[in-house]
Amino acid sequence: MSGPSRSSSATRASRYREAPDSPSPNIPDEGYYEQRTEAPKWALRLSEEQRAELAVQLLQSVSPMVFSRAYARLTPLLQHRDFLAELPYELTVHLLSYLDEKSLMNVALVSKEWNRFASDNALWKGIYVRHGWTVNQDMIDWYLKGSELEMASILHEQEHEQEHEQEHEQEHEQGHEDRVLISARSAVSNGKRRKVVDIDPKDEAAERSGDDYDMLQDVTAHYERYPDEDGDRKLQRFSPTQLDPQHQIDIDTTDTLAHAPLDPIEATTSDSPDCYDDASSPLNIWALSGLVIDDAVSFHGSTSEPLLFADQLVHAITSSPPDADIHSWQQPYDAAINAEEDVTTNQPTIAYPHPETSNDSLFSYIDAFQAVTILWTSEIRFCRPATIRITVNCLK
Amino acid sequence: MTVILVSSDNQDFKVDKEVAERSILIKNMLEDVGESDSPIPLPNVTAAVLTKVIEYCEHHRNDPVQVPEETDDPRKRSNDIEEWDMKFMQVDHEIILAANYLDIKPLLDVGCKTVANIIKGKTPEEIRKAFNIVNDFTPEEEAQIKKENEWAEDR
Repeated sequence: MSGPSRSSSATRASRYREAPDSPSPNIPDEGYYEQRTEAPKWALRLSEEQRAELAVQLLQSVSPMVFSRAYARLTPLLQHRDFLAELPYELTVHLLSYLDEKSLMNVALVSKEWNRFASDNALWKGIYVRHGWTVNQDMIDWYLKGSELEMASILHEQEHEQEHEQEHEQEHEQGHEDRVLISARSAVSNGKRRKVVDIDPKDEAAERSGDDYDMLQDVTAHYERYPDEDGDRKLQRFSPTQLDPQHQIDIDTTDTLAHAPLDPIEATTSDSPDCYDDASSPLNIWALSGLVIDDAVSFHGSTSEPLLFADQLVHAITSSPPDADIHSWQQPYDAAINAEEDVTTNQPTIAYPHPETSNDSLFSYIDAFQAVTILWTSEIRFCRPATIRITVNCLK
Repeated sequence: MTVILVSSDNQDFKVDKEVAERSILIKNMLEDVGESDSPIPLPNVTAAVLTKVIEYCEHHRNDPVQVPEETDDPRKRSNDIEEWDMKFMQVDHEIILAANYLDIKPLLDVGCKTVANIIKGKTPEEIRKAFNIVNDFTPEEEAQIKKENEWAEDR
């Protein structure tokens, strides 16, 4: 760098320093010049308390009229000083992204403005991902395409509500209390059919209290052990590094049922939530729903029957290999859509059998698991109230 | 080599280039302009804030440049703030704004984490107190939100 240029810059800099208040040719002209009063330099070097004291003393020296004008300018600074609201929205969201879901809930209760921040879509998606769940865009596209074909074959939930209950009673009487029953009703194109998929739990009570993380480790371990021709793709879907050992998944048993709404039918009628109001949309399908019960005994007789979606999911994945045909894929999709409709008032539960009991469909479980994550990416409508609590029971 | 930064209230700050380049904004600016001694105006940053920002950059001048990997960080933690940063950082949204404007990601993150830590573990009422916020919910609205959030309660 050359000498002259340095000295010229120094002069310019010094001019800034010496005469900050006078327009100079070197100061870029922005079309106006604002006359302003600046605090003297020495005052800025005082401590905060000293400066405040100085300001008070100065204010006391002015006439009441001037004081009240100054006061009027100061009050809003104090009263409406809202930390988050003063930041640009993206920064607020970035800041809140360091919070866990519990803290976010508290943030949502602070004020309307903060509630808006805490409802941010990206925040909850982030939390979702941090829980180890991933999204498979290919599969989402696949579902979305498939749903059009499936439109005609969808059954309405309410028609079968009663039948549904009866069947559960039967199951109960047949002495399945000590087993895990997963009742899955499948929709077929020209009628209704119901299936009871009995996933063979050896010792559910002991296993349920087991470590949920272990289960997922099992899943991933198997996953790596059995790569098939498109194993790479599948590994991508569910990378072990995305698992978070500490908050993986809730283990929840009958507790979940206690949270179920009293009138579950509301939540799953085709016209309830406003997110699928476009009749031509492939997403506007009638919800299929059924039951997942992780404990037949305790569930039986309950009036608050939770309408849950995962039976389709489980049915689909236990009854056919993942890529068998479009109809088998449709069901998890329906289930997922149903879940989104459901979640504003309900807490869906997925009861997965332990992967070890059925190695064949291991990949299917993982696929189905990820099917649920469609909810988060289908760009339908998602915000905090639609937060899903997915419960995985470890059953062996 | 030094650069001169000019705050919004026209104060000059002579800073080592290396320190100034902690700010990606300034770094890019210097790259675009090339060899030049002209002072860099920072019309969005006051002298008081710039002083703090420079203090931060001086302290962290030798830190490795942060790689932008954080986007899909599986877990975001806010308990990994260095002790020095903790003392340095007072809750000050101006610092956060300046860090954002000057594009100093670590400083921005430290600022956000600090605020997040204040929020963490507090009840809504405590948060209101800490941030001087008026509760503008009706009791019904509050009850409704609580109901929606029930699922998180037993965690």
